Amino acid sequence: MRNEEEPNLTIFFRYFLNTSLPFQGHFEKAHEKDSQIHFLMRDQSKNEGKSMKNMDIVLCGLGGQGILFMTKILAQSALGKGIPIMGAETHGMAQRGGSVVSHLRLGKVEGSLVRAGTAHILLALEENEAYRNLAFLGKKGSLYVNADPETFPRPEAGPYLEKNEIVSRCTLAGKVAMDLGTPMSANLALIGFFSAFAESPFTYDDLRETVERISPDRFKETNLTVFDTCHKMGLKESS
Amino acid sequence: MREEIFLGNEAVALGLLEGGCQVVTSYPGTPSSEILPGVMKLVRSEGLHTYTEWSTNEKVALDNAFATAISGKRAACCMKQVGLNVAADSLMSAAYLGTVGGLVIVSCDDPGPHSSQTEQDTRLMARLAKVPVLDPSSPREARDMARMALEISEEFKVPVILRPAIRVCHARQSLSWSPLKDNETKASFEKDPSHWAATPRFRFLLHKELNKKLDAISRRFEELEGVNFHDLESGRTYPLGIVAGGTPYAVVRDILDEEKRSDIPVLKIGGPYPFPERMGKEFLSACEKVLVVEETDTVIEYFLRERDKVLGRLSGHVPGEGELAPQVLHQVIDGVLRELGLEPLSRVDDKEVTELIGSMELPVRRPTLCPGCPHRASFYAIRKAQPKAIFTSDIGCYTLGLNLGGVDTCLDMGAGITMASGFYHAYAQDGEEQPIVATIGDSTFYHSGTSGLLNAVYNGSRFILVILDNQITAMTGMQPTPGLGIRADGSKGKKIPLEKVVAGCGVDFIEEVDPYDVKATISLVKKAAQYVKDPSGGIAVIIARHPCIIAYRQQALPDRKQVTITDDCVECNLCLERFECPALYHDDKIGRTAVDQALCIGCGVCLNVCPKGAIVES
Repeated sequence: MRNEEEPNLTIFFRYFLNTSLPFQGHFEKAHEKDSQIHFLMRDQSKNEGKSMKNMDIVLCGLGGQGILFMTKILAQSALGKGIPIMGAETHGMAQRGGSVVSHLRLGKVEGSLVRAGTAHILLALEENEAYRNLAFLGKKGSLYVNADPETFPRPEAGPYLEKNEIVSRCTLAGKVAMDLGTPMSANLALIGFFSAFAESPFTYDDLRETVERISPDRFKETNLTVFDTCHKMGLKESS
Repeated sequence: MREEIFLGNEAVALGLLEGGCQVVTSYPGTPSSEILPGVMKLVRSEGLHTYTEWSTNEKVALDNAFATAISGKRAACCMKQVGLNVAADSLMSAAYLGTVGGLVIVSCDDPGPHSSQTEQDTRLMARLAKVPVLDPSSPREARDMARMALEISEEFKVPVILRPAIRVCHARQSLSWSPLKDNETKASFEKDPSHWAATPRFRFLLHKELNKKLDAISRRFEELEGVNFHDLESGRTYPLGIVAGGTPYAVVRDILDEEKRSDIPVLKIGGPYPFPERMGKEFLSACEKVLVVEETDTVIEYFLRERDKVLGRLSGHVPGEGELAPQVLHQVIDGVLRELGLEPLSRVDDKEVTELIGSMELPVRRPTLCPGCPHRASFYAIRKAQPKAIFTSDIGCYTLGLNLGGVDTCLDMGAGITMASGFYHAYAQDGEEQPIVATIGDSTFYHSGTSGLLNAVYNGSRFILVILDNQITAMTGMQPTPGLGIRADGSKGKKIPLEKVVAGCGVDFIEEVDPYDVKATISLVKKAAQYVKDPSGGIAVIIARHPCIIAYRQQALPDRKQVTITDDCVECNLCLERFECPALYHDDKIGRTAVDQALCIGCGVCLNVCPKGAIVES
């Protein structure tokens, strides 16, 4: 992941070079700010039996694609609005090139995992992983996927998406990243694309500000270029 | 007060330091690896003087922490659940001896399993050792319970286990916290050999004392806020109640809240051992049936002794293996409600999507060694030089060598060596010369390689041992090893070269090679095979030394090679099967193997692989 701190000889020094924890936020008394959580209410949250206040997101792809960094951008953006977050990550052996899934839950919840059939948003950095994790998405959920809009979805998946009123939006995030000379930045590309659709509570400004704030200095410019490029591509589609 | 997002393991670190922990030791292992780095981060940012160390193994970590604790200070050691097996000898005895300062053993479970050999349940180990255990359901609880564990330990003079499971360890949650202060307690070990070096006769008395402590802690576990609690309304009876601990509690809570099922009371068991007997009885008597959900074994279920009332794993209502993911628990609860004729949960129809995904024949994404990984080069060369050998291997990234046909066995830490000597004697007994090549990583060798190697040399086994030295503990997130000479806090430590350790184990054939030099590695493995067969030979140790491509990018890859595949490719798939680099794939469009330039790192090792010479530098 070139958009994250690149591991190097002094990888374990990272822990003490940073004087603060990597996930720094700045909201207070999140639980008392229910009013702020209300803007999470949206049509998609009318999933069966689901609390109106919560939003569940699943991010997937392959090990090394930067799923955790993508999750971090969303988590930090939500935290900036005073929304409590819970998330679940994949570490260890599964990270070595296998399928990686990350869960992010906004609102007051106890568990870190999203239940199948209830996610509001699925972000997939790889087309096959999008299908593999399709069961997470609830009715009227949104699917954002790094895939060719010409060929996505595969014909057999079409009827299921339609029947469940799942809106799928795809962009060639990997190709854009490659064309911009940073083949490993597909994650930033997909988030940039996502930012064009104003999925409440995520606004373009918040997401971009988070990318700028949490990217290590030497990747900041590249990350923002990739983000902006795909944001514009998304705007064309959303308008 | 600051509000920040903490990884569960960082929350454990925070709780330990808030509890005044002065020494924290650990051996890395998923899902526990981020605790010690979490401690180090806070020690740095808060200017604390907590001593941290990556110990060579879990038993070493526990013994070190134990000594600190009986000198009156507060200490913790952190490991994964199978690491506690390694430390079990120490744990069982420490339970009897007790402690002076607080002593917490953090043992992280891996239901699934996601990154472990077994799904074993640390709570059973706590029961076996007769040590209290706390079982958090969220990072927030993990932090509170870490602090609480230190306090209970010190008050009752007994080690306490904290067992967060993977969905707590690797969950992220926002927590607020205040600046931390050093615990100023000074070490003052009071000699009492009849206690601290007790002989079996006195151990009986210590056992009796431990039993008394457990009775008292069982009662304390019922009084402590946030450990064991239920939401029964007094005087009301219920057709069904749920008893849950750990991650399943969080999942159950969410499901019942989402479904607005206040008609189902929940008994949360955050302190499963010593079991809160009175509370358990109270809950059982208010409910006609009780469903127990816990990961990953049956602990609470055994303590609730009314067989005709209790549903769970033993009654076949809860799956006996695997993670109790939200959708699994939703089905379990729904199934029980329907069976009892009660109002079911909202129906979830996942049949259609499951069938759809199954029908799509999606490619299986197995974990694989990284592009440029030096282990891939080693395995390729080993297999090329000794195609008929039995390949015993060990625990680490290199277990993935099984994708290349370079790993036949993986039992536990150190078994690459011990199983090689076992196979040797099994065949030698029949007069057969079976070639055996053992592989083990550098960190695993320091962890538990030496005793097996000493044994093999002493007992006359013959095999090739390749120590895959990538100069780091890679799988668990890049922790330093004794071979590196850097300690947990980044300070310089004494470097202990593998060669010296191996020589100390009595091995005479020790040679080093850079596995990126495939030809040299192949010929060295062949030379080692000769030595193993030679009447005056023995065990041959090859140190395949090349830095981890992820940890030391610059050093590991001084010059990048642009690789391409020519039309000479005959689609024999040897490179895909025997070399298995993620950057090599079969391109259906051009009908032959191609290089994925986005994944290729340019190590150029594959240039040695193609029998037709179709992989070339461009």
